[in-house]
Amino acid sequence: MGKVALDLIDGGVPAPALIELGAATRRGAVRGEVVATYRSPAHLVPATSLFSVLGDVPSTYGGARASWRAAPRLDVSGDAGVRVIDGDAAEHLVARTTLRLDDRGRGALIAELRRSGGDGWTGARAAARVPVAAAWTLSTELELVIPDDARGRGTIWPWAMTAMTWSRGVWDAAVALEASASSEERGRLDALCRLGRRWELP
Amino acid sequence: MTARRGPWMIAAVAALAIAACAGVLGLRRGGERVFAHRAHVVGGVSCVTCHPGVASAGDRGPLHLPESGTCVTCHDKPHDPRPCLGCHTDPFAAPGAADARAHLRFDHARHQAPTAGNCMRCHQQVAEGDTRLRPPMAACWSCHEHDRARDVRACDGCHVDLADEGTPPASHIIHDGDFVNGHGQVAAASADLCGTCHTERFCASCHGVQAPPLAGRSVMADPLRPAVHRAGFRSRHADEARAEPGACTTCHQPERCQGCHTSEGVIGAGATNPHPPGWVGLTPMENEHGRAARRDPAACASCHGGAGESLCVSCHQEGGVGGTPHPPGWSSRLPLEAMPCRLCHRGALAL
Repeated sequence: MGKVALDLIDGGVPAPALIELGAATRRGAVRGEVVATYRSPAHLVPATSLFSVLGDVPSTYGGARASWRAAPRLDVSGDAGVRVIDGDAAEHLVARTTLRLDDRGRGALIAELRRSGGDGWTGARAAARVPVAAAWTLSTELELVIPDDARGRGTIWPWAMTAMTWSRGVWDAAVALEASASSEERGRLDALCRLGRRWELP
Repeated sequence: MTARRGPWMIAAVAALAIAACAGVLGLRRGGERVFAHRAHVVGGVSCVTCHPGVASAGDRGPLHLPESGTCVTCHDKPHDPRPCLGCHTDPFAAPGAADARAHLRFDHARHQAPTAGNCMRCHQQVAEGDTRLRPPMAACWSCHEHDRARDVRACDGCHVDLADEGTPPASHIIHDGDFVNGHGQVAAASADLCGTCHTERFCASCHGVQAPPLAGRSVMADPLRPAVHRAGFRSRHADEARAEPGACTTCHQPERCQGCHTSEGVIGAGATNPHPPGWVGLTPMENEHGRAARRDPAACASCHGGAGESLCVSCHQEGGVGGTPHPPGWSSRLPLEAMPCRLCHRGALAL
């Protein structure tokens, strides 16, 4: 069993145009998909701007994705593709695994490797979401990115966040600490908080 | 000898690791034995033996899940006095059946004649395991032709309330590929399709009511939730914008770049040059700015637009050292004396 889909989307101005072609099939615990995308940017610059004479460089992407439920609680997936822009080809690779810590997936661990080519970057990401009590969830996330061409922006960009969430009924709250070293700053520490209430129609 | 032993050692270690992790991986569920549909079917037990009354069940009423009394008609020596289904069931089976009863218009009795009483005509996946007991929609469509209903989004013939149902599609409208990044355009082009399953409240959970889309940082407490700008996006945003021209403007106005760059001191009074070495030079290898401008002119215009364009003209005007900025095959219906042509084609002003 499989499916093939073709989407033609012309959003007019200011939305870009998009053509997507995909085919997917599932065989047991394995799902495969091939995707091709053509995106015309439709740049948002005034017609009288000098930047309007540069043309409209589209990007074309072709790739495949496979996902495998290796065990009832373990998913493994991978993406591989090539994006071509202005005659330059760049690879796009992702490998990802998710381990659910319970049948319903309230707790889970993620490990991900990502490669974005063409003067791009290579990154590794790990995340965990662990229920610590009925209403409390602890989550943490770590990412390391290595740019291909540092150009004085630092050779590695680490990023980490730890958050605690409380959720009860229509209310939820979260506090988090975010730490990073990036292309702009050698070090940065942010404290984040969020309080939410959900209103629902009867 | 050592070389021969190597693969066996690896296999043994892998087997031990899997056995040790069986509970974590969900291969072994707390020592309980989930009810084996396949074994009962192969053993010649009819479905209606354990699900009595389901053959005549209508759209409402009980779920016809087996009681312990049904089990002991064959398993006459139960090892535990507690209800059998307390342990011997997939944790999603009964909730899934209740969900289907609440959200689908389905009448088992009316399907007896077309299927000749063969439950497996629809419940095919029971033979594969006990995790997906509800037939996929493709099973319905193998007999029912609902293409027209699908095209006009008339799903309520079978689905009571898709938005409330919350069941992810199993056989159609799957959000394939890089859907998180591309969904904005799809939604803009066919909002009615999205609306068959999602309410605006669902959109607002990420996008806010009137606010711009929220980044991954705003759903910080859930690292497993799909988000467009995940993790340390701030560091990578310039590289990601260059990697796919047009992706940013799916959601953002160009003013967004300018506003943020101004507040962060990238542009404006006292700003330092944000461009890397090799941005502007005399050889093509030293002229990264041309390629970057072609791919994302809006980013350049966010700082160098308007009067700032004179910087470009100083090199790229007709006869200038910068050469033509037009791509190969460029043509325009504008007269040379019109804007912006006359900025560089100075001869046009004398016409």
